[in-house]
Amino acid sequence: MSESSDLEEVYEPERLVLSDLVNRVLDKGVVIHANIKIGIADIDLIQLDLRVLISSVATMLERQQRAAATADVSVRPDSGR
Amino acid sequence: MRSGFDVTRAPVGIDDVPVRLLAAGNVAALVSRLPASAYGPDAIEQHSGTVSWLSPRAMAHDRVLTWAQDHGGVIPLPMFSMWGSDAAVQRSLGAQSAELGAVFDRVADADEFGLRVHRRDEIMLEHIDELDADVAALRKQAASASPGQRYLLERKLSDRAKSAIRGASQRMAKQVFEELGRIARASVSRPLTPATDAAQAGNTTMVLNAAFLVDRKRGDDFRAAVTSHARALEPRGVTFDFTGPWPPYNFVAQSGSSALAAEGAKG
Repeated sequence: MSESSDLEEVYEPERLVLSDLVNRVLDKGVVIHANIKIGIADIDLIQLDLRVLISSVATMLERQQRAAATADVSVRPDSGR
Repeated sequence: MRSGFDVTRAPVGIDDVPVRLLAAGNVAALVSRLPASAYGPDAIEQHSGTVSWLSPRAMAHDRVLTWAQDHGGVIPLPMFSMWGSDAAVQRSLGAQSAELGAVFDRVADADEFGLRVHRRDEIMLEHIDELDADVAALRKQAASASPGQRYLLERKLSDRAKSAIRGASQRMAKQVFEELGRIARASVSRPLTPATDAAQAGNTTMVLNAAFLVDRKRGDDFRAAVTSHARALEPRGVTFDFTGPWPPYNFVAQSGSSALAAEGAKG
C-alpha cells in the first residue's frame, strides 16, 4: 500500500474518522500495566493525521450506519453487576 | 469489561485472531494471543510509525472495543497493552478491580463523540461586518477615503479583521463546547492540533478539538444540538467534523492511572 498516492483517493470524512481512531486507540485508555515499554510516544500523531489510510471502507460505512441506528439500541445484555 | 458477554459473537481482533474473555474478580478482559516475535517491543517500535501497518491493527482494536461497547460497556486500554500470560492479565485486573468498577460506573450507558471545529478565514471575512463593529466602521471609512488614506486604513483593517476572526471563532468554539457540554455527561477539550498540509491548503485553522461523553438516552438530543450549531455556524465560515459513537476512550483515564501502571509493573 503506497501511502501518499493512495491518500488522494481517500474520501475526506473517512480519513478524519481514521485519524480520530488512531489517535484514540494509541493515546487514550486506562494504563493498567507497564511491563512492556513501547516507543509509541515517538509516533508523531500529527503526521498520522496526514498519512492515515483506510484499508476497509466497509468498517467506516458500518460505523456510520451504527451512528444512525444507535437510538434504536434498547436491548442490552445484563452487564453482570 | 464486566462479565456476561457472549464473546463468541465478538469480531476478531488484531491479525484476525479471535478474542477471548478472561475473568478476574468482577471484571473481565477481552484478550487475544499474539506472537511475541511480531509484537514484542522492538517489533512494535519498528512498525508503529508505518501507517499501513498500524491502520488495520488500530481498526481491529477499535472494532472489538466498539462491539463490547454495544454489548454492555467497556473500558478501553491503550492499544498494545500486553501481558506475557493469562495469569499476569488476571493479576493486574484483580489488583485493580475496585478502581475499574468505579470507572465502569462513570462511563456506563454512555458513548463518546468527537467534535473538531475549524474556521475558514476567507468565508469568515465575507461576514466580517457582522463579527466586529469596529471593522465594519473601518471598512465604511476606507470605502470613502482618498487613495492615500485608503491604503493606510486597509492595512489597519487587515490586522483588525484577522484578530476579529480569531476572536469570533474562539467565542463560537467556546459557546459550542459549553452548550454541548450541558447535554453531555462529561466533556473534554483536547489540545488543538497544528495545521496539517491539507488544512493549510484549505486555509483552515482548528478552533475546537473536543470529546463528549453522552448518555445513550440523550444521544439524539446531542446529535440534534450538534446539527443545529453546525447549521447556524457553517455558513459563517466554521466547519464541523463530528465523529462517533466511540467507546469512552477519552473518559476512562483517572488521576491514579500512573499509580495503576506502577502497581501493574510489579505484578
